[in-house]
Amino acid sequence: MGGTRSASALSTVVDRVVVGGDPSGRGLPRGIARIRSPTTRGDRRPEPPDGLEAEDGNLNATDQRAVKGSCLGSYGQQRWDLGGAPSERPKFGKAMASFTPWTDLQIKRASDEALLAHIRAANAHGRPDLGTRACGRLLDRYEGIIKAKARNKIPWANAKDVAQEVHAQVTRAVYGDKQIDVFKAYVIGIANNIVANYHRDRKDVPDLEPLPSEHQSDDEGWGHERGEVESGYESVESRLEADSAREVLESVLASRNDAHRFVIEMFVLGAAETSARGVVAAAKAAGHAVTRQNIYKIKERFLADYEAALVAAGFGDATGTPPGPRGEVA
Amino acid sequence: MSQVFDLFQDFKREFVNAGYADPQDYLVKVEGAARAQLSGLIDAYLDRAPARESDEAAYGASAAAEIANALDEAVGRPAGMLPIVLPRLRKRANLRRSDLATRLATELGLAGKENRVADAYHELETGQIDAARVKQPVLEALARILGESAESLRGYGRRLGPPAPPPRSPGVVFARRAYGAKASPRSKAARPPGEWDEVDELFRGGTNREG
Repeated sequence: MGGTRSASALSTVVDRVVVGGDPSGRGLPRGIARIRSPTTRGDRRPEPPDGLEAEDGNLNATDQRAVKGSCLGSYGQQRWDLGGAPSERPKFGKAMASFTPWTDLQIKRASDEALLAHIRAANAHGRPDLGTRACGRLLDRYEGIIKAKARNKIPWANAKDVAQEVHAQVTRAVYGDKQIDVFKAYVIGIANNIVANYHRDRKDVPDLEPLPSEHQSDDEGWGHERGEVESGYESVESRLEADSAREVLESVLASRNDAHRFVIEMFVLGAAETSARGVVAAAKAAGHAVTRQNIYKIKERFLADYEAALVAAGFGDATGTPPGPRGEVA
Repeated sequence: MSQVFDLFQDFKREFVNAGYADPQDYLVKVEGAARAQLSGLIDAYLDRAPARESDEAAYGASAAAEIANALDEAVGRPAGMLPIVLPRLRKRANLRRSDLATRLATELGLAGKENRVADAYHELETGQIDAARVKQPVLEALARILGESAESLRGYGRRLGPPAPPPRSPGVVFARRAYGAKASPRSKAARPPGEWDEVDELFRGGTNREG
């Protein structure tokens, strides 16, 4: 009841101030002044479409910047810059009343899975455009990993090309109905597949067209010549070598007991700044009794065994070009 | 071994601090088993590495930003993500658009109609064709040429979200990168009305199940 009276009183104030011709909209709550003042100033810009109107009024300045930065960068432009009778206005904003796009800060702080849910919520509310900014930020979090993976396995790879392929495939899944439990694991799985295919595709494309250097237009241009080796480093077979080296690592790691694997995960494969003391504490918390001395020994032994396993697998020794099949192709 | 681990640690530090580090800068410093060892360690680390922090300056030049910007124009459009993906797949296959059209015409058994196929492909790549109406033989032929599955291409052609509103004024001009591409000089609009041929049938004659 009280709410109704308040709304009625507010409406009276609005009518008095706006209809009465106060061009500034002074005396009104900020949102309402913002919504109504263009019309009352005699501004010919149309009012926003139904649904968008009320929501825009409720957005604070930060939210409004966020909206302009994403969806309404395109649709909002149409909304304000074009004329037309109300019946001609797009209905794209109808569902906006129940969905509010996040601010940059919210996007920055959100977990991967929360961002994914946000993007899908925008889609479910009929506003996929409101999720594109969040989608870009979500993809960007893993771009460094994707590029590094590509360059680690394929010396001549154009890292940005690979990243774009991964991003496109992940985006399709994000906007589709694909179930993604752990976003990072999903992205890395896609990246591994695409890096593998990148090598195969670039190698197997039939040679039907002239060399890239003969094409200069935007439509026709591309990066390296097929099979071109950047910086004169290694052959395309290096990718296979990298994959094999990783398999050897995993087999050596799997041969360790739980405590040793825990230490290796943290002290070898973890962050560079991980301290031995921190590993001891974490191991203790996880139920593994290790000392600082143990940790260094576990690390050294793992690296030595890994190297020995690589040599046994035909990668040669650590000082020169290896003999054997891999040495011949490298 | 110590050198490998030191390089590995340096790589990790640079990767975390800069959000990216090129493994090749480190791999070129060692050879043989040492290089393989370093490569394996880097790959294993990357699976465990933290996502990078948001960086405004870096984001602007990222592939992610490019995709997000392209998405702004793709959502609600009947071509789905094909205008984003097809040019990249074509680039990956090292094919000019005209070369691709020639091969596509051959694959579709439309020898002699290369120009018509080129027009239709141009419209498909620039988002002027409803991807849901493109018939399966076209997608299968494209899949063979581009090294992507037909199912994948069909998936990329699925519209993201509900239909976007049409422009409210015929005089409005949108500055779009993909959808605003120049119409082909031999485009459908330039052809006499009622001239519906087998190329139209293949590129526009399918059933749009999305309505």
